Amino acid sequence: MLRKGSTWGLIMVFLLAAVLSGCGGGKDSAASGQEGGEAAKGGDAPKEKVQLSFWYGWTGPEAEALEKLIKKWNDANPDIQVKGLSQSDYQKQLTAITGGNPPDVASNFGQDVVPWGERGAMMPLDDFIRKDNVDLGDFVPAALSSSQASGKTYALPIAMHVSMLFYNKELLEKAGFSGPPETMGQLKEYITKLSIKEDGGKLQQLGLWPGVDAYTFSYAYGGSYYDADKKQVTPDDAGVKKAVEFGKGIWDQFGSKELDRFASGLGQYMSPQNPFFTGKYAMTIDGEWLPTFIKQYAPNLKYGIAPIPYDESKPDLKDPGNVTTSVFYIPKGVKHPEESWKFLKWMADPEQMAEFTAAIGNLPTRTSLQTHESYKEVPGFQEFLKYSSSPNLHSFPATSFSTEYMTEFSNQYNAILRGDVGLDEGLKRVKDKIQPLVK
Amino acid sequence: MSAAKMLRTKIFPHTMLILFAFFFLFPFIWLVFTSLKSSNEIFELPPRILPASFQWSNYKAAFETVPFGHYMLNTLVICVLCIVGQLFASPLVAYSISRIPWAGSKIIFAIVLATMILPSQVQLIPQYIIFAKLGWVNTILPLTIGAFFGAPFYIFLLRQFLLGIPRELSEAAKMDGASELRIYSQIIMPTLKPALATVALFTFVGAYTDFMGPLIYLNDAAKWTLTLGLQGFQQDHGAQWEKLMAASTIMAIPMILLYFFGQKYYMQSGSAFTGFK
Amino acid sequence: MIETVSAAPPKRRRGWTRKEWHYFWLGLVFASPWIIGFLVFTVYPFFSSLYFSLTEYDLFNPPKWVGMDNYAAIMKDRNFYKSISNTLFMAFISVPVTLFSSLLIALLLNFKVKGIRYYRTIFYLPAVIPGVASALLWTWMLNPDFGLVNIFLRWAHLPDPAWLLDPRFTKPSLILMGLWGSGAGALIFLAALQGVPQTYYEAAQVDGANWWHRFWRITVPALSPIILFQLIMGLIGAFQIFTESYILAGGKSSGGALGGPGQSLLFYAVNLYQEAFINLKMGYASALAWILFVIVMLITLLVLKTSKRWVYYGGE
Repeated sequence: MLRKGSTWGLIMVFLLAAVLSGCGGGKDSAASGQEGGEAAKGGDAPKEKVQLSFWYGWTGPEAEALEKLIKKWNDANPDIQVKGLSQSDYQKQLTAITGGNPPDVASNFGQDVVPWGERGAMMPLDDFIRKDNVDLGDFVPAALSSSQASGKTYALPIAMHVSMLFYNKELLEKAGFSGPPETMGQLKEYITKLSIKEDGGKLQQLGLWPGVDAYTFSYAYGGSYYDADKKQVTPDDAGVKKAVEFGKGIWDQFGSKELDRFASGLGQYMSPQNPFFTGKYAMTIDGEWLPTFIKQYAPNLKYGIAPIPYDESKPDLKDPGNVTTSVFYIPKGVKHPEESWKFLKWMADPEQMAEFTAAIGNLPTRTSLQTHESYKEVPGFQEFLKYSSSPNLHSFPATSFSTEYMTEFSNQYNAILRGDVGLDEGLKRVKDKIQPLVK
Repeated sequence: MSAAKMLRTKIFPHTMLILFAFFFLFPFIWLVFTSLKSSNEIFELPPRILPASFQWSNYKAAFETVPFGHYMLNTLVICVLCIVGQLFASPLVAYSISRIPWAGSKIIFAIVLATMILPSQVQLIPQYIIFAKLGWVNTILPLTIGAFFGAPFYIFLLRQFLLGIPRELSEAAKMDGASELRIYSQIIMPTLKPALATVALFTFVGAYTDFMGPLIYLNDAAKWTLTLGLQGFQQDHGAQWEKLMAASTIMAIPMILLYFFGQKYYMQSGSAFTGFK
Repeated sequence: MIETVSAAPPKRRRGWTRKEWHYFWLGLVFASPWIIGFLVFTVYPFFSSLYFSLTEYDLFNPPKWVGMDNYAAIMKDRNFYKSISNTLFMAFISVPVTLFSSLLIALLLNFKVKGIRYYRTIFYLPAVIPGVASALLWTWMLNPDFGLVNIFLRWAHLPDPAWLLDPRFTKPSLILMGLWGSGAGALIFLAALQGVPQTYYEAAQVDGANWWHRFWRITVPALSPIILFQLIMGLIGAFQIFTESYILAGGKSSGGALGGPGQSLLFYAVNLYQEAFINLKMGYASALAWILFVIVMLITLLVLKTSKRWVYYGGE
């Protein structure tokens, strides 16, 4: 009995030791950052050393490009040391901010900025911007607007994406076209001619995948998703409706069954089997990163990059496009807002922005960088840089409910394409669901 | 051995096992072969199983991208703590609600079930707040401490096993004046070995493959686990699949070894019952 | 002594005997790890979610009391009905199918033949493959044109659906994938099979019972506590199914909307996640969680109630 008892005692001691060591170990390393800072203060460092944590959503080689910049900053600023952390899932940021443990600077998608910012998760940067005379006029308006609402700027867009029309030169020539379509009417005609069915009626080649991006075409038709003056969501706006009709028109030409069948034979996006690379798609609407992938996966592909077609009845809306961004922001509740801002501002400076966006193959958000030499080597960037100065670029209206709006719109758009719901009814459903969220 | 018996005890089992084994083995073979393909080959259509030439360099590249040894060590520390905790707490609690006749057993069982039924997504934030208040964020405590209080899944599982053990087994000892703790540790626990081995294995695999927990609670890349390391192969528009597959293969090996060699704990107990009849 | 131990504490109008107190303290001590853990780490999240369900809570600002508004709004929410019907499909089809296949595999793995160690390892392999890798594998296996599954179906002159692309076949695809993971469930059954005394089978064999009889009279009753466990856990798991849909029909690839083609993979927990962390409506999501809680709790209690008729505990 005694022997047994002592064995149990030993087990309990071991368990306790395990728990305590886990605890102690954790605490030590958690505190080490601060201790380091205090040690530096005690020494002959002139200022208190601040340690900033910087969480970003890029991974792998893209994260390496960012770490390079962080190192550059750290070398130049011994008193403000930044520690980067790559985290592909934004749930972490959300939890940390809510739990009162936010990073000092973080990245996010532009579409999250105003929903998070308006709810108080992001610190408005306007005072800093004014104080340091950051020239917001240098930013592409469509990119900046996704970070702004109610007169406040919640984040600085660091990189942007816009889509253009890619076309397979050989396939267009074969169909008798000497150049890309310029208007929406021509696009429709191109799609019909470039879609080829086998003898058995099986789709072999498709002009353009009809499920693609209703937003881009909405702007081509002069559509708008939100009327800020009337505080009305407008999924039923005439331009939006035309864009949905356009997609639906192509979809119905082939039908869900045949398109599913066709889609099933398509290869992975980031591989040599990307349907545009293999000629399964004669045209596609895609972003500035695609030329880099083509260079990597399909170096022999003869392709062209053209503006998004415009509505022939509205020639002033030439070169339309849908802009999305990646941003840097300062979460609410950070301990060193001044230092956080210094680092954020530095990252958004032209020099750093050029280095980073060129390295990861994203477009810069500053118009002054659109002719910068660091993009010379990036395939396809001359077309895209030029396009990003078009006045007809838009981003989805930034409101506190925009993520929910986009989700519901894309749900109903898919349902409309598949014929699960009528066009007007589908758009009405979006309005019914989202309008009550307008405050 | 007669032909009929041979058919019944050897040929039939092996045929069935091989047939089914193919279904379960195939994915793993596919994983290994994919990890040896070049990145251009992985998505070839129509697909082929064998790589054109074996790209062992994928493994080298995977090792260069992710500090495997370091992350493996971090992961194993968490796994071991969880197993120790789970094997300590879950059987105790299960024993309490199955073999001790006391008023609370039913209530506790009901609450154990209830905590599993409420979706964890809505409890994530308040849980984080508790750990943040305790100053445990960015330590492994949020990932391991729970195990030392027992997990509902294992408590329920062990309860079912415990209820199946004949009463007489403990009653004889009780008559000899053995304490409850002694009956628990010397009579009941040994018969529970296969179930405890299952708990240990599941705990290991659960902690080893957990993504959300480490993601939320570890803020320091030096403390990362393997699953967080795998993030490095996934980008916005796709993944570096060949490296991801190589890393996944390496990651699977400790789990396979543990299971393969841990099996002997399954086999021992049959006798515990038969000896007692 | 034996009587007092094996019988449940007799009902008394007032006061406990010393024996009952003894067992009360003993039970409490044995259960104390879980009780402490529950009080420290679970009670607060558990009940705060109930409170959140009665508030408008966007995660960044303090919750605002709205009473039953969230619950009323849910009753009018199309996604709620869509997600609940998707989820019920999984609960009622996938759970029994997976249960049956785990049991079958466990029986296979319980053969006493040479090399069984290797077979057992093989059957557990799918559980050790990371989720992203197995998702890719399955999009490949289920590819309508080139996938092995359809190659087989065409060979057998059966219809070859578009699986993960066709809203009607996405859920059956998940069930198929679930079967592949039934090795983990089989492991639990296998552990339970080790506890069935070999002598029972021998005695039955002497009595001339055939394989089928032995299976029904000995194996099934002996496994019934574990069948109950698997059934309840399967149901709870099915009602919370999330990862599979999230990986296969994930956010970015489908323009931000979760739930796959025609929302056919919009499961209850997926919808809940979307409301909580993408739409930032934690109050609404908490109300969804508590509706699910009530539904699943009722089903679980019902199963437990009927189990008295078919579960046999050797210890009772």
